[in-house]
Amino acid sequence: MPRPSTRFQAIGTHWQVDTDRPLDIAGLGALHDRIARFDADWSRFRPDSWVTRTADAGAGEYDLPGDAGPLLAAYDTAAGCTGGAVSPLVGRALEDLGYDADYRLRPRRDEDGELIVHPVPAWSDAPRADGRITLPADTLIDVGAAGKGYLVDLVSEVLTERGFDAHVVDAGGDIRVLGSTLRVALEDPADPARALGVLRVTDGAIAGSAPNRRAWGPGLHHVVDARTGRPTDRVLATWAVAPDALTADIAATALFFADPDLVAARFGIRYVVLDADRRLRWSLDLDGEVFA
Amino acid sequence: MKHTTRRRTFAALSGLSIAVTLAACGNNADAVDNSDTTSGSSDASASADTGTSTDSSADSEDSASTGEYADGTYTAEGSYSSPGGEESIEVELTIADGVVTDVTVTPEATSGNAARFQQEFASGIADEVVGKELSDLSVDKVAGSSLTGDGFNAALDEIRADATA
Repeated sequence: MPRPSTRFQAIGTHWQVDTDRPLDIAGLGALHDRIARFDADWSRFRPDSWVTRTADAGAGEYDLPGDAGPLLAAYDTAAGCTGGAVSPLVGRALEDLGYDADYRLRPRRDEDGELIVHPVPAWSDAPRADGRITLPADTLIDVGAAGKGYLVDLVSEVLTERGFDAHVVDAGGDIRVLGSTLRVALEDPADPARALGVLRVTDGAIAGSAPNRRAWGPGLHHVVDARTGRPTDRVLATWAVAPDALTADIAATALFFADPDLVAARFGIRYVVLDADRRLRWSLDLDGEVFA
Repeated sequence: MKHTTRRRTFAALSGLSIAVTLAACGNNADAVDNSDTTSGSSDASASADTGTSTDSSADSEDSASTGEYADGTYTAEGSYSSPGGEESIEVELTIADGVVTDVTVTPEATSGNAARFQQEFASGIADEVVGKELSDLSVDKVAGSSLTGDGFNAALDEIRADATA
C-alpha cells in the first residue's frame, strides 16, 4: 500500500487517502474542494443542498448536478435487478425511520408501537432527460447506496489528474486502489475482531455493507426496501469487488435484495454475501479466500 | 477404475456451470444432459484431463437419481499446464438427487485457462460460517460496516443513554 496517509472526516465518515508521495497543500485542497462540491449537491443532511432544496420545493422538474449521470445510471441498473427495492427516492422513508438530518434516530410509530412505513415513489416515476429530472411531490433523494463509492472514484480521479498514479482512497470501507494490491479482510458483522475472508484488490474497488452494526435500534438501519419503506432483514452483510467504487458500492446494496449471481452479471462484480442465517455465498472467481 | 473416477469427477465439474446457469431457469435435468457437450468443448476441462491427482468420495453410484452422477461429495485436486503457466485448482462439490447443492473451489488462478475454468462456476455456499480471528491475519484494510461520522455516533450514544436511563 502506498504511503504516506492523509486522514480526515467528510460526508459523515472517516477517510484515509494513501499516496505514493506526500499530498501537497494544493492537492489536498483540490481533494477537499471536490468533496465539498459533492456534499453541497447530494447531502440530505444539509438544508442548502440540491437534494434538500428540491425536496422542499416539491413536485417539479429540476436541473441535475453536473456529476449526476453515472450515479443515477447506477441506480437505474440496481432498481432494475432488484425489482425496485433499491432506489434513490428513499430519503423520506429514512427520515420516517429516524435517520434524518438532525440524527433524531427515533422512528415514527403508531399507537401499538409498530413502525409507520410507506412505499416510496417508484424510481421510474422520476424520469430524466437532458440533464433534468422530474420529481414527484414530497420526494427526498438519498444517494446513500452509491454516493460514497462514487465520491471515492471522483477523489481518485482528482489524485490521478495531479499525478498521484499509485494511491488508495478509503471512505469508511469503500475503497479504491490504483497501482498496488490491497489485502482486505471481510469484517464479521457479529464480531469486528473476526474476518470471514480476505480478498485481494488490485487496481479496483471493494465496498461492504453491514447495516446491523450501525443500526440505531432493533431492525432500524439504512438499507431500506423502497417497495415497503422498511429496513431489510434477509441479509446481514455484503461485499462487492468491482473495477470502480461506484459499482462496488451500489452492487453491495443490490446484493441485499436480488440473487447475487444476477447482481454479479448486471454489474460485472464479484461478491460475498452473509445472510441472516449466517450462510455465506460467494463468487468462485474471487481473488482471495473466504473462511467457510 | 481410478481413471473412470477421475473422468466422472471432472465431467461433473464441467457440467456444473451449466447446472448453475440453468438452475436459474428452473430446469436442472437439462443441466446434466448438457454436461458432456460442455466438457468436450471446454478448454478448461481439456486441460483438466492432465490433472495429477483426483479423489472421489461419492456415496454410491446406485443412488444417483439422474443415472449419470451418483449423489455424494466429490473432491478433485489437479495441476495442469496452461498457456499462462502451471495452474492448480481444488474443487469440492456435493450432488444430491442429481443436482449440485454445494460447491467450493479454492481459487488459485488469476489468469489463463484456469481463471476461465473457475469463472464458469457461479458461486460457493457454506452454512454457519465461522471466520477467523482478524489478529491472525495479515491485511491492509478491513471492509464491513461503514465507519460513521461523529454526528451519527454522538446521536446514537445519546439514544443509548436514554434507553438505559
